[in-house]
Amino acid sequence: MKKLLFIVLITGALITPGLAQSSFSVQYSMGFGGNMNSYVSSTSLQGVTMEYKMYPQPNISIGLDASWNHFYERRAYDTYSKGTLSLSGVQYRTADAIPIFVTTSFYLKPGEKLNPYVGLGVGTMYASRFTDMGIWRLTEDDWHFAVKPEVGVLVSANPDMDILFGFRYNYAVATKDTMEQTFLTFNVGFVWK
Amino acid sequence: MKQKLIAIILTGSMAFFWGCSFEGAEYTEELDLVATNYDAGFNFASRGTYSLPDKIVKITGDPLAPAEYLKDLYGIPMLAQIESNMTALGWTKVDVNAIPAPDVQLLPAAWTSTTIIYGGYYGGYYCWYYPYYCGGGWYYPYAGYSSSYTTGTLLMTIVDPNQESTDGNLRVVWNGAMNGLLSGTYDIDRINKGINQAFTQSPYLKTN
Repeated sequence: MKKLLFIVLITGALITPGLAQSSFSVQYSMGFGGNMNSYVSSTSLQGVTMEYKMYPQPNISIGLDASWNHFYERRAYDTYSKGTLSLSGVQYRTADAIPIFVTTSFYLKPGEKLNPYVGLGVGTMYASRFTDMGIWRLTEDDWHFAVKPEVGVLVSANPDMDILFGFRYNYAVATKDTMEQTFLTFNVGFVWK
Repeated sequence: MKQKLIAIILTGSMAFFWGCSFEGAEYTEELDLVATNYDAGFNFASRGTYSLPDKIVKITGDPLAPAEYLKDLYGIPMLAQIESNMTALGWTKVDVNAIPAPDVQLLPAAWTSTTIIYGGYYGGYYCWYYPYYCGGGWYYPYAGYSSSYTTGTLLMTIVDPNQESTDGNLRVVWNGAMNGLLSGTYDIDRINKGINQAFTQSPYLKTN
């Protein structure tokens, strides 16, 4: 998965130079908070986002983005009870989220050095959770309907490139078998126009 | 183009490798698991005596084979630890044939289980399968290797000898199971820790 994402990332970036009124972005993404916090309380330092956007007007974009965030935590030896059953052991919790959104963004000051924006994404999120205890693994994974409000700012580095700083709230609706999943990300990356 | 490539590699490296660390158990002890369950309809507090065998039976999977037992070197310390915990909870150990009969019987049993894992390259991606399954197809590995692990389990069962079902089984009122990866050396501290934990997380066993 990592290798595939990396190949897509480089290929996507290299085939988009010079397209008028479009941009491609690669962002480093840190995940934290939301109800993910009750499963893995550690901040995710492994994550990436790729975005392709088109601009029908200078202050409006529509696009497509895909992300990956990886969460992991080792829970110290503890006892977990449900009904009359109790289990004690060390738990290793791993969660991965792959949201894919169709997006639209509104830019407040296009063409200026600092260009704040707000955005919304609608799409899907593949979310998986692995809970390892002893030699056993409990797996939960599913595709969710998901939305993503976003705020951020673009800092113009040169006429062809901006630096992006943004916060996203990823909300994946509960499915029949898995609960809703929410987490925030802080993204920082490059936007090539 | 060069600047763009450097930026992408920088971002990708941060995304994949920053915060990347070894995930999972580092020591065999971290894979130890203790599970307990009980019959909520059974009143432990009103009982006070129990019986305990002087050997721990080995489950071999062959019901027709003669009974096998753990070596005393391993079994006696485990039985002593079980007895110590039961005493601390207020129970008195009596002979299984005592009159009056013991209120409950505590029956320990142990077994080991070995799992073989085969790993190899197939179709350009790495996969694990058991025994020969990977990504939707059955095949034999052409460049794989195998490894194995052995786990040990100690199961402690408390039954009520006064409640026998029509098929001759006694009513099970408590189970305590410890499971862990065997490391090749006999570690009584690790076993005692598991036995103690099984009783610690079962405070309802306390009798008056």
